[in-house]
Amino acid sequence: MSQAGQSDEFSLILASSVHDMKNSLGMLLSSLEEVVGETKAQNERQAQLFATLQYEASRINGELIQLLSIYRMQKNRMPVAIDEHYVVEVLDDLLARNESLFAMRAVAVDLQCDPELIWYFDSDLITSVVNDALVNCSRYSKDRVQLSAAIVNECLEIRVSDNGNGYPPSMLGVQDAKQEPSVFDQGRTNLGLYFATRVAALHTRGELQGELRLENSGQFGGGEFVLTLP
Amino acid sequence: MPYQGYDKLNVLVLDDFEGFRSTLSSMLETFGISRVDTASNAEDALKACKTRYYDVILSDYNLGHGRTGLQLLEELRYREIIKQTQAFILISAENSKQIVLAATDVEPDAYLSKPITAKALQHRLDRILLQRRELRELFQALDKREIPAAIAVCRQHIEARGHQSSLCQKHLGQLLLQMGELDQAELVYQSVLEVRPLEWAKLGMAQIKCLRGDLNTAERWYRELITANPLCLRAYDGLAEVYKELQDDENLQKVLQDAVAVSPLALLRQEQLAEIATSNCDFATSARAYRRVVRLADQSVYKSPEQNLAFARATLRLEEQDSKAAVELGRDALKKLVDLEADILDEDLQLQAQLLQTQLYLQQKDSSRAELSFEACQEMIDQATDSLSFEVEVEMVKTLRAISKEAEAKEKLDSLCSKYEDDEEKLEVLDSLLEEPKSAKNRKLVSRINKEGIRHYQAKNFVQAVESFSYAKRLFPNHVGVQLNLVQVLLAEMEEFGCKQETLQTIEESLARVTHQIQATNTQYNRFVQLREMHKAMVRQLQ
Repeated sequence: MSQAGQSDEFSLILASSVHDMKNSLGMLLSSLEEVVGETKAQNERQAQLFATLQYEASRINGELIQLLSIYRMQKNRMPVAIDEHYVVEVLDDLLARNESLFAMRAVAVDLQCDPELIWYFDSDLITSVVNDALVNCSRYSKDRVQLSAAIVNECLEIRVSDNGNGYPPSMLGVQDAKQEPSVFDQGRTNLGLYFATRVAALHTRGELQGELRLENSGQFGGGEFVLTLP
Repeated sequence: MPYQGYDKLNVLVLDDFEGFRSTLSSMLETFGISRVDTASNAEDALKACKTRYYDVILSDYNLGHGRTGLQLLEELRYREIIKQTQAFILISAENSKQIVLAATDVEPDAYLSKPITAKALQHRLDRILLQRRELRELFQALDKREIPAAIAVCRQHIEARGHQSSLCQKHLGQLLLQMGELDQAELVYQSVLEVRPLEWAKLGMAQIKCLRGDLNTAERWYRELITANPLCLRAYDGLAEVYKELQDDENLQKVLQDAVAVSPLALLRQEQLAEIATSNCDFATSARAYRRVVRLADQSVYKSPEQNLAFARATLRLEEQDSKAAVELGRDALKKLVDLEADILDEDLQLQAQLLQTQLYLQQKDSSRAELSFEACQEMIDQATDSLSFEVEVEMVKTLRAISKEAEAKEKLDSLCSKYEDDEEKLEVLDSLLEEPKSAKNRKLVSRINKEGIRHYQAKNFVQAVESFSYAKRLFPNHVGVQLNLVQVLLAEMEEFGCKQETLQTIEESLARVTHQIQATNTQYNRFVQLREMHKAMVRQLQ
C-alpha cells in the first residue's frame, strides 16, 4: 500500500475512534454533572477539583468535535447548512450548556443580544466555535464573561469578552484563514483557533467572508474573541 | 421565555442505555413534567405511543440492535401513530445534525447533540413547546390535511411578523406547490431569496422550474445545490424527478446511485435504484441494491415479499453478465426466500417464490433440492384454485429452461406470446425471454441500436460498435442477430489490432449461447458457421 493510502486509512481509523471517544465522554460529562449536582463540595479544594474535572472534560469534548469537523473539511464532507436563526436562541443554549462550568469557577456570565435579532449561519458549526471560546474564557477570565451579538457594518458580530489577562500579543488581530494549524505552540495545538477561523471563512455573502479577530483590553479589560459573519 | 404548563405534559424517553434514560427522566421530572415514561427499544416505544398521547418524545438515534430512532419516527409518521402536534426530538452524540439526518429521509422536529445538560434541555424544550403552542392551528390543519386552512394560518403568521415566520414560509411554499399554485409559491421563494440564497428556497424554485417543464434549468439548479452541499437529499430527489420527466434512464440511475451513497439507510430510494437498474439491465447494480432493500425492509414499515422476489429475479438475470457474483448474491437471495416462506400468504406469490427457489437451487448447483422444489411447484399448480397469473407463467418458462425442459418452455412461451399479442406491457416483459423482441418499443430499440452499431462498424469505429452491440446484448441476451453482430465486430477488431485473450473469451461465450439456440433452418445459420470458423482459426493462430 502506498504511503498516502496508509495515512488515509489511519485518518479514517482516527476519525471513527474520535467518534467513539466522544460518545464515552458525553456519558462522562453528564454523570459528572449529576455527581456535582448531588454532592456539595465540602471545601475550597474540592470545588477546585470539580471545576478542573468539568473544564478538562469539556475541553476534550470540544477538541474532539473540532478534530472530526476538520477531518470532514479535508475530505470535503463537511456540509455547511446556512439557515435563518434567532441569534439569542443559539447563544442562550450555549450559556445553558456551560452553566455549571461557570458556576464552579465563580465566573459571572451575561448575555447581550436583541431577542428579535435574526441572522444566517450554520448553527452546528457556530455553536462549536463559540462553545470553545466560552470554555476557554471560563479558565482565563478572572470572574466575568460577557457574550454579546449585534449587527455591525451589515455583519453579525459575536463577541466573547472577559476580564482576564488577555491573549498573548502574538495571537492578536485578524486570524489568517489560509494558515495551517501551528503544531504545539507552547504546548498547545491552537486547533480551536484554526477551526474557528476556517468555520468563519466558510460563511460568505457575495464578496464578503466571515473572519475571526482576537483583541485585548475590551470593555472588561481582558481578551475579546470577535466572530464576524456576513 | 420559559414555557408554562410542564405539569400537564406527557413525555416519552427512549434510549437503550439505562443510565442515560434515568438521567434524562430525572432532569424532566425536575422541570415539573407530570408523566415521564421510558422505553428501551423501538417496539416498546411504538406500543407506548399507541396507548398514550405524548406531547414530547425524546429518542436517542442509536437504540442498540434493531431500529434506529429515525426508523422509529418513520414508522410513527407512516402509520399515523403520532400527529404533527406531537414533538419528536432526536438525540445523538454526533454534533452535525446534517450528517445524522442525511442517512435517512425523515426529519425530527428538533435535534439535540450530546452531552445534554439539564439547563440546555429545558431551554430547547421551552422553545419547542412555545413553537407548538404558537403554531397549534397550523399543525392541526396539517394533521387534518386541510391545506387551504394551513395556508391561511401561515399567511396570517407571516403578515403579523410572528416569531415562527421562517418556518411558516417553508410550509407555505410547499403547501402552495401541493395546490398547484406555482405563481404564488414562486413569490414566497423569491421573497426569501431576495434576502439570502437559502437552500430550501432554491430547492423550491428548482421544483417550480421542473413543474413548469423547464427541465434544463431545473437540472442545472439541482446540480448547483448538490455541488454546494453533497448531503442535500432533496436536490437528488428533485434531479431524479427531472430525469424521469426526460426519460433519461441512464442519468436517473446515476443520480440515484449518488443519493444512495449519501443516504444508505433510506429504503425507498434504494428500491427506486434497484428498479431503474433492473430496467436498464444493469443486474450487478440492481441485485446489490435489492440485497440492501431486503435487509433494510426487515426493520421497516415498507417491507413486502415482492422485494425478496425481485432480489431473486435480479440475481438470476445477473448470471448472464457475471456468473461469479450471481452465485454469491444468489446464495443470499435463496436464503431470504426460504426464510420468508411462512410469511407469504398470497397463493400466487407463494408459487412465484417456489419457482424462483427452484432456479436459485440450480444456480447453486444443488440439483436434488431443485428437483424437490420443482415437485412442490407442480403440486401447488395442481391445487391452485385460480388460473395462473402472468407473472407465474413467466417464471415457469424460466424455470423450465433452467431445468433443461426446452421444448416445454418454448411451447409455454409461444402460447403466452399469442395470448398477449396485443398487450404491449406484457410483451415487453416477454421480450427478455425471446430471441427477438415482439413489443413495439423493444423492436424499435433493438433496430436502432443495431443500425447504430453497424454504422460504427462500417466506419471502423470498433470501440463504439462494440459498445452498441454489448448494450443490445445486455438488453436482449437471446437475440441471435445481436450476438452474431457482436462476434463479427470483435473479430474484425482483433484482425485490425491483434488478439486479446479477454475478447476471445467474450466471443466464445456468445457463440456458445447461439449454439445452444440456433437450428440449421435459421436464416442466420450460415453466418453463424462462418463466424465460428473464423474464431477457431484465430484461436489456432494464437497457439
